Amino acid sequence: MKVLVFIKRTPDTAAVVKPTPDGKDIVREGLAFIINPYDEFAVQEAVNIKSAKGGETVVMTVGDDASTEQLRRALAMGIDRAILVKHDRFWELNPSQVGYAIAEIAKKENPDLIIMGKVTIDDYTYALAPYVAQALGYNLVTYATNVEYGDSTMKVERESDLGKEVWEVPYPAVISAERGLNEPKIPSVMGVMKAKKKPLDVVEMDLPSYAYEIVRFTPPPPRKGVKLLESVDDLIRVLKEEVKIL
Amino acid sequence: MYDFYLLDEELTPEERQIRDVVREFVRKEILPNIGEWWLKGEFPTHLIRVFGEMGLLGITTPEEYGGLGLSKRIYGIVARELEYGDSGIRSFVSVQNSLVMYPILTFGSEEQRRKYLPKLATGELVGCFGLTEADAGSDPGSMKTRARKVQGGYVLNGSKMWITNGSIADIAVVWAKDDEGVIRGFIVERDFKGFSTQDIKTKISLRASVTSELIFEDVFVPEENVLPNARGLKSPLMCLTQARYGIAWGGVGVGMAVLDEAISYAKERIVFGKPLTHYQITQEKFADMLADLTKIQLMVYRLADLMDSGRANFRHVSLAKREAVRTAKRMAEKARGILGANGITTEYHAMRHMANMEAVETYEGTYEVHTLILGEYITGVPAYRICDEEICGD
Ligand SMILES: Cc1cc2nc3c(=O)[nH]c(=O)nc-3n(C[C@H](O)[C@H](O)[C@H](O)COP(=O)(O)OP(=O)(O)OC[C@H]3O[C@@H](n4cnc5c(N)ncnc54)[C@H](O)[C@@H]3O)c2cc1C
Ligand SMILES: Cc1cc2nc3c(=O)[nH]c(=O)nc-3n(C[C@H](O)[C@H](O)[C@H](O)COP(=O)(O)OP(=O)(O)OC[C@H]3O[C@@H](n4cnc5c(N)ncnc54)[C@H](O)[C@@H]3O)c2cc1C
Repeated sequence: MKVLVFIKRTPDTAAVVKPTPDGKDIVREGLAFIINPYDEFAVQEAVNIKSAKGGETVVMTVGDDASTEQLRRALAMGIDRAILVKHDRFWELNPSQVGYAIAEIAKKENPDLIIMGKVTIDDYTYALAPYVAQALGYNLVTYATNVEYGDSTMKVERESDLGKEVWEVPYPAVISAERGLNEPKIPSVMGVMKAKKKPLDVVEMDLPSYAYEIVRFTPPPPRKGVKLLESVDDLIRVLKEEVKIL
Repeated sequence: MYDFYLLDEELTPEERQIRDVVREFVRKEILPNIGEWWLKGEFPTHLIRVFGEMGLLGITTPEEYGGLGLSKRIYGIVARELEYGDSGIRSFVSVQNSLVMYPILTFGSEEQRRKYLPKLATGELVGCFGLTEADAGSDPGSMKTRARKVQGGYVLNGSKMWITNGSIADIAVVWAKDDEGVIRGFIVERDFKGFSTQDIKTKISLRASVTSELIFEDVFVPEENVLPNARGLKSPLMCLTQARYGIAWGGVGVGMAVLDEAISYAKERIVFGKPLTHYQITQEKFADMLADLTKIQLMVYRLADLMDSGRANFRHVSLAKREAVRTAKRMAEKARGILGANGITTEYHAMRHMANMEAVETYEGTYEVHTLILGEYITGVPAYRICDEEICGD
C-alpha cells in the first residue's frame, strides 16, 4: 500500500501568539513551530500501516525552507521520503490552493491512501481533506478514530455526537485524522539519524490564485481567572445566576 | 531554557533534533512522575527498554556493535537533557554507556563485544560497574576484592559498595586484584554462583536510582569473562573519565532546570503586592544563576570539542566535573529558596535536584579528589597521601 501524508508547520500549541503591527499576520520570529498535532496522527498512522502491511510512505507539505524541520521529523518518525512544495509565505495560502498542490502531487504519486489531520490548529478550516478527495475523485472519510486496513477496502470508525459509526470504504481514499487514531511516538535518536539520509525533494509549483485576503488578525481575549467555589450549592447558584444555563 | 550565549547554535540540525527528541521524552515521561518515583525511592525500570528504543544506550558505541557511533558532544547533550529530568535517570544512562559499554568495547575481546554490546544497546541487558568498596572509595587502589587464578578462570571474593544499578544489573563489570596485586576487570553475570546483591535503601539523595552492594563469595569467573586488555588502576580510571564528562554536562542540565523553574515561579508569585521578580534581591539571585549557568555551559561545550578531537585528558574532565556539579548545587540551593515553602516539596524540582547533587558531587571522584588532581597538575606535587618524609624526600 502506498500512503501519502500531508502535514503543515504550525505554531506550537504552547506558544503565545501576537499580531504584527499591521494586524494582518502573527509575529513569527522567535516562535516555536511543530507539526500540526492532527497531522502528527496522520504521520504515525502511515508509519503503522507500513510496519503492518509494507508498501511506501511519502510525506509532503506546502511550506518555506524552515518547514523541512517538520518534514525531517516525519522522516524521523519513520516515513520513507518527503516532498516540499515550496512557498515562502505558505501561511497566506487558502485551502483551495494547498489542496490543489496536494492533488497535483497525488496525481504523480498515485497513493492508495492520503491521510492528513482533520484540521490545522492555526487555520481551523477543516476544508483540506474534502477538497483533495473531490479534486482527485477519491473516497473521503473525515474524523477517523480507528481504521482496519483490508486489501481492497478499509473499515473506518468515526465518532459523532450521535455515537460511533463504522464505514467500509474502498481505496483510493482520503482520511482525515481525529485525536485517538493512534498515539504518536517521539522519534528515536536512530530515527533522526536515518532521516538525515532519506530523500527530500523540493518542488516548485504555480498555485492558482484566488481573491482571498486576510484582513485582520485579532488574538483571543485573555483568559479570565479561575474561580474556586466552596460547595455544590454555590455551583448551582453560579450556573443559574451568572452563567445562566440552568 | 536558558542558553544565553546561544551555544546550541553550534549544533548541527541533526544534533538539534536529537536534543529535541530527548527533551520531549523527558517532558513527557520523566517530569510528570519523577517526584513520586523519587519519594518512593524507585527507579523506573519500565523505561529501560524505552531508553534502548530511543537510542540513549550506546550513543558513542560503534554501529557494528549495535550503537550509534555518535560524537561525545551528542553524548553530552543527551546527559544534559536527561539530568534536566533527574540525576538518577542520567546516572542509569551514564553507567550503561560509559562504565559498562565503554570498558567492554575498550578492554574486551571481540567475542565479549559481540556477546554483550548489542543487548546492552537495546536495554535487554543492564550493566553495573563495581569499583568502590566500603573501605576503598576515593582511593580505589586500596581495594580488597581478590581474583585468585584457578584452572580455566578466576575465583572472586570480596564486596563492592555503592554500586549504581547493582541489583537490576544482568552483568557487572567488576574490578579486583589478581595474585600479583594487579587490578583486572571481570564481567560477572547475574546467575554466576556466589554472586549476590543487596540494595541501599536509606539514601536521601539520588533516590530515583538503584544503589546496591555486590557480594562475591567464591564466584568462579571463566577466562572468557575476563577483560583481556584491562590492567592496573588506569583501566577503571579511563572509564571514569568518560562518565565524568557526561556528569559535567548533567550539571548543566540541573542548572537549566532549576533556573527555568525558579524564574517561572517568581514571575507569578506575589509578595508584598508585586511579583517576586520586581525586587532587586531576587534579580541579583537570577543574575548570579544566569552567570553560573553560562560559565559551565561554555566549559562543557569547549570540553566536548576537546573530547571529540582527541585532545582532552582526564584533568580537563576533572575540572569540568568539579565545577559543573558544585555550580549546579549552588544554583539549586538558590532556586529552592526562591520557591519558599513550596520549594521543599517534590511537587517542585529544585530541592530534589539539590539533594541529588550531594551524591553526584561524591561519586565519580569527590570534589576534593578533583581538587587534588588539579592541584597536582598545577604544582607538580601529588598530595593525595600525607607525605612520609622518608619516602617523599625533601
Ligand atoms: C549514589 C551513589 C552511586 C555510586 N555509584 C557507584 C558505582 O556505580 N560504581 C562505583 O564503583 N562506585 C559508585 N559510587 C561510589 C563513589 O564513587 C564513592 O562514594 C566515592 O568515590 C567516594 O568514596 P567514599 O564514599 O568511600 O568516600 P571517602 O573516599 O571515604 O571520602 C570521604 C571524604 O574524604 C574526602 N577525601 C578523600 N581523600 C582525601 C584526601 N586525600 N584529602 C582530602 N580529602 C579527601 C572525600 O573528598 C570525601 O569528602 C557511588 C556513590 C554514590 C553515593
Ligand atoms: C516545614 C514548614 C513548616 C512551617 N510551619 C509554619 C507554622 O507552623 N506556622 C506558620 O504560620 N507558618 C509556617 N510555615 C510557613 C513559613 O513561615 C513560610 O513558608 C515563610 O514565611 C515563607 O513564605 P512563603 O513560603 O510563602 O515564601 P514567599 O513569601 O513566597 O517567599 C518566596 C521567596 O521570596 C523571597 N522574598 C519574599 N519577599 C521578598 C522581597 N520583598 N524581596 C526579595 N525577596 C523576597 C523569600 O525570601 C523567598 O526566598 C512553615 C513552612 C515550612 C516550610
